[in-house]
Amino acid sequence: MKRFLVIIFLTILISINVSLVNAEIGRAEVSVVGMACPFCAYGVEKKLKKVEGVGSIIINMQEGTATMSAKKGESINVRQVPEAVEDSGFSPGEITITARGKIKADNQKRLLLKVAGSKDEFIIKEPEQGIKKQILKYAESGSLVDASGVIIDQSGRTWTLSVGSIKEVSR
Amino acid sequence: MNRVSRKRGFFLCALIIFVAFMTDTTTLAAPITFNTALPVAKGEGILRVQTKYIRSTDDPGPLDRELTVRAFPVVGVYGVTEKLAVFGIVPVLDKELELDTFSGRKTRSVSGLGDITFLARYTVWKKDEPGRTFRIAPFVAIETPTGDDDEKDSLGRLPQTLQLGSGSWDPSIGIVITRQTLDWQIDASSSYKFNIEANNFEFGDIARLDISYQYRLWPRNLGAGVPGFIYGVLESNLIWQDRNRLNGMDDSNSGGTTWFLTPGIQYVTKRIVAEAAVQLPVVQDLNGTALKNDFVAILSLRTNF
Repeated sequence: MKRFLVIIFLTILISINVSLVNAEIGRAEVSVVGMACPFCAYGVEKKLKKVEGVGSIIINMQEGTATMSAKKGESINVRQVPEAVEDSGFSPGEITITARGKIKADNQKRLLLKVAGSKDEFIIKEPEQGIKKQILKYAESGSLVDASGVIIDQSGRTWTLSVGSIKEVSR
Repeated sequence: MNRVSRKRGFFLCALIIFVAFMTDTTTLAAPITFNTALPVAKGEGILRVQTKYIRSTDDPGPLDRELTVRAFPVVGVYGVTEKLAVFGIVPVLDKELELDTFSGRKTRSVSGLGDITFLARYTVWKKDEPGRTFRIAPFVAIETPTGDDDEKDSLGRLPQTLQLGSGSWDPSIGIVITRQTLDWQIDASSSYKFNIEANNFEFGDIARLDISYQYRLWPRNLGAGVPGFIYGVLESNLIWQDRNRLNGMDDSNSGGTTWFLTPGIQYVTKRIVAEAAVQLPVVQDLNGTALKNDFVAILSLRTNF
């Protein structure tokens, strides 16, 4: 009985640890097209603050971008970002994310980034030769990775991500 | 009514062209003296408080009139959608007129709530580019008869010009175009106000053409973050008013065209816009003995909430 309870306890401990390690979409940056004055930037900030998982936002007027960081232990729901920018009165441009997850192949032999700790996933656009080897290696090993890239297609249920950099999460 | 009283009546009515458009409170947002087409975020609001000091002492008539108006419009703005914004403009007015009478120099004055205006503005077209935007937004407004239009003093009923309200529901239509970049902004607005008869009196309709140029003076170079901007502002306000009608007859001492040049300055942060401007009449082509303007001084504060 004692051994059983220890096993249960360790299992719970490991699960918590895994969910803490398996962070998610921790950072997202969106180009806010048309934003050109500080007073307008406040409306953008307020709308993006309502996106699920967003903790803090930094607006850069010169670059025309809003960079969101996730709340501790949460994942940014990037699918809400385009609508939030439109609600502020401007046009959403390119979205760049940094996400933690695993690379898997689906039954159509497409590579997917499955975001850890959530049901979110992204189709990985056919990678360039330089990074393709790395991605295939991580797909084969099932390693937990941090991937950064630009979302290039927001149509459909699963968005497409062009991965710019990827590295294995240290254990 | 004897000839002198009629003459005085006409002279007093001649103030209207000045007072009516000077207290026009549909002016707000990025330009200092009129509206902009820039968006209000959906479900968000803006509050603007202004103080206007209007002085007019250039009287071509014999009564040596001096008019001082202090207006304190409070404007609430709400973004119903990202394209549709609604405005409520609540003016608090303090008007004082000094003039010569048979019994010496007299002062007639009144203070209180003026006519509240409601306005709706809708963006029909926009083109957003990195660091710049171009928008077109028509608007409609209705000025409601909330101000008292039957104020009296020891000399009797105040002339219509000095009343706090017009007594009528007066609609306006217009369109505003805005082009904004990180370095400068241009706004242009055209509007027409239909003044409706009340108390046997009808203010002349008003047509306006307003242009504003705002140039970022500081900081000269943008870095990261959202710094406060200081804009130098130059605006042009071209205002034409038709003659007033009293008991169905045109008042020949009312109406005309005024062109103001308005230099100003703005300090803009994420949460507030603090601004100051002075409207200087460069052309005043008024009918008959209509009272001419000296200047209008404006202080304003806007806040996001």
